[in-house]
Amino acid sequence: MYGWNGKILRIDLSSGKVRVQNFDADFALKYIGGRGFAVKILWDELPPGIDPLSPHNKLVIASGPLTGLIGPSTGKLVIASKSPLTGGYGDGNVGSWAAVHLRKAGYDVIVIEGKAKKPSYIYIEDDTVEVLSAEGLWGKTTFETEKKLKEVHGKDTGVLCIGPGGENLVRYAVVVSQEGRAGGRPGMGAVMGSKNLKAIVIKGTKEVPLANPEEYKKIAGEALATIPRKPAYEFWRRQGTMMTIEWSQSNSVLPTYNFREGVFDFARLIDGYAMEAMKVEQRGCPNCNMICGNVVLDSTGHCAELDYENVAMLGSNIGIGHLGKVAVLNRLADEYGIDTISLGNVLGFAMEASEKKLIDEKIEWGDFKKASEIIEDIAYRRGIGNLLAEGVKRISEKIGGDSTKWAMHVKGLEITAYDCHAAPAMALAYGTSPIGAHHKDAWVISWEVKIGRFAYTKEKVEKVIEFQRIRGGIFESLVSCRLPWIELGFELEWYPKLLKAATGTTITLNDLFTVADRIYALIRAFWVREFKGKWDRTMDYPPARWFEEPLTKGPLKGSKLDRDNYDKLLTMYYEIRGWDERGIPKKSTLEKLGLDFVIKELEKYIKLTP
Amino acid sequence: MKRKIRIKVLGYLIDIIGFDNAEIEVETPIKLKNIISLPKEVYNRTIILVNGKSVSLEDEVNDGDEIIVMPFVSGG
Repeated sequence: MYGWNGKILRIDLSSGKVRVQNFDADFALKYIGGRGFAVKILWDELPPGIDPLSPHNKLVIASGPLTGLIGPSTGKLVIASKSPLTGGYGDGNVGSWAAVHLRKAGYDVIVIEGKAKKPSYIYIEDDTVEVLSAEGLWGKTTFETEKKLKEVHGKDTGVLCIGPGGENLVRYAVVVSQEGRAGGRPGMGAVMGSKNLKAIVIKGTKEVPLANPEEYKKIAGEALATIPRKPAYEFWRRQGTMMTIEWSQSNSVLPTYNFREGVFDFARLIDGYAMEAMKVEQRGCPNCNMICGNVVLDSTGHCAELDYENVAMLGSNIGIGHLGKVAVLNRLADEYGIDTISLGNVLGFAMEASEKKLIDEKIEWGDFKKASEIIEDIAYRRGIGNLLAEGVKRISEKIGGDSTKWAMHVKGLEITAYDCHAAPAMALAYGTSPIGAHHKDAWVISWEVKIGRFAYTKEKVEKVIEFQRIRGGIFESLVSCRLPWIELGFELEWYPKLLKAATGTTITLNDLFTVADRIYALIRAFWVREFKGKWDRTMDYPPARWFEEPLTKGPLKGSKLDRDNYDKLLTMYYEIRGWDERGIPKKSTLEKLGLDFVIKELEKYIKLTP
Repeated sequence: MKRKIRIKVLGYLIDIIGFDNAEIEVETPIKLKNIISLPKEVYNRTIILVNGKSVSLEDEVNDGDEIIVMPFVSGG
């Protein structure tokens, strides 16, 4: 087999046993890699209903056939598990040297199960795999942890680690690499913490076997050379995703005051131009020639890496219009290993709950000092932080009132930084995202703004699915970064060419779309099984705020979503996917996608639609 | 008689169009393509809003209209 190493590294932290499992070309071609591998492994191996923070859960770290090879932004990994935040399938991708080293060490996937007796970390150097003591690292921030591990194992390694957030089982703790690259929003960091696993250090010195190395090198070189020639390249290098602050403000989608509004009076003070004035360094993931990590000095003089999502969620969404202060909150979240997006939601939710006197804690909009203190309380689960570490869904269920209407999440995962009062297709993208509300699978706002925002049409549903196939299907399984394509217009046609040279097999874009549909159906089946068949279409609804409380500011004042029309979008979505009215894949769809093994298992809980 | 039209340009399009903010005086109504010129590859990934509504270069603008020209972005 070429392109894949064909090896899954399995580590049982309870017993300390390590083994290598081979996989065949059938598995590789049916699931490609990354998210595809992860959901198949989790479906096959996790007993339904397990506690995600118990030793029975498994953490899957998965690459794909392009991961780590020289090529367009290929330095990424998928980290997946049953989510402690949502109770369903959870994953995230992270840019890290660990991606390159994993492949060079001779593996495509790591599956970690069980629980270490004491704080530990895993060290992998090619064929040598050790579980070592992390007692000296436990309690340290992600930045300190990586620094210490590199002092021991050398700089030429890849490190994935957690901070106090993961150790203390904050339900939206992430896995962090390279001081600010974070992944696994639905609590993948907490899953590591629950296993007493502080870090994974990987050093690989081999080469991935390729079908036609010379041809691959030639195509990859040509592909990389096109990227700096794209018209948007120079500006991208200046601002990266930070230009989206001004864009979102101009389109009334900038999350403001816990998604009450789509415009922020102080947007100019936190936008890409403000960032440019503060920028001291640019960082990126490995194998990337359009690096987007903009590093500024925060208000305390520390380096902090900014991007759109964290600035919107920790800026406008909580009423802070000072970029240096936003950068402090962002850095604290990265150091503690907490997801900045969910954190911005939780802080905004807490500010609104305080305003409405649903919690005793006093925390006002824009209160930077209090927000800083609360982040630390969340990481260590102290005081109010213990409640806020649970995520907005659980908090709202606990504090009551009307707060479930403005707990901004789908399926328990907090919404990312786009307000959807006037963006029905984007609301559908959040509603149907396979891990809960996240833009990574289908970001349709640009397209929706261009074709007309207020319509509820089949064209919009088709676009959401097209994006899900490309972003959530292709890029999450290759595993390679979507940004060259989505941000600069790098052509998708490069990927089948790269795959052909790497694997020796012709894999067309249509083949990849089928894999994407298979992955989506299997992820949906995973959720339905975990919920023991208690599943209906309301699981795919965005929060009530967008339907019931119109925008009160900006050019789109008065806008809100229409529930009946949203439901019509959802029905069209299910029809195109071959899912039934409940949002569950039909038997015929599962058969068509080669997922027959799912049928018997799901029918233990529900009757499938033929 | 010439009328005032305001144009705001975002992101990398500033370098292509040549300014970020401008107030121009033109005879109205006037087709947008007579004010703004974009290469096809760029135009396909561009959004033009007139008073908040998405339009094409073939559409006309009038006295007092506010135009925003912005690229497709994905926000990460």
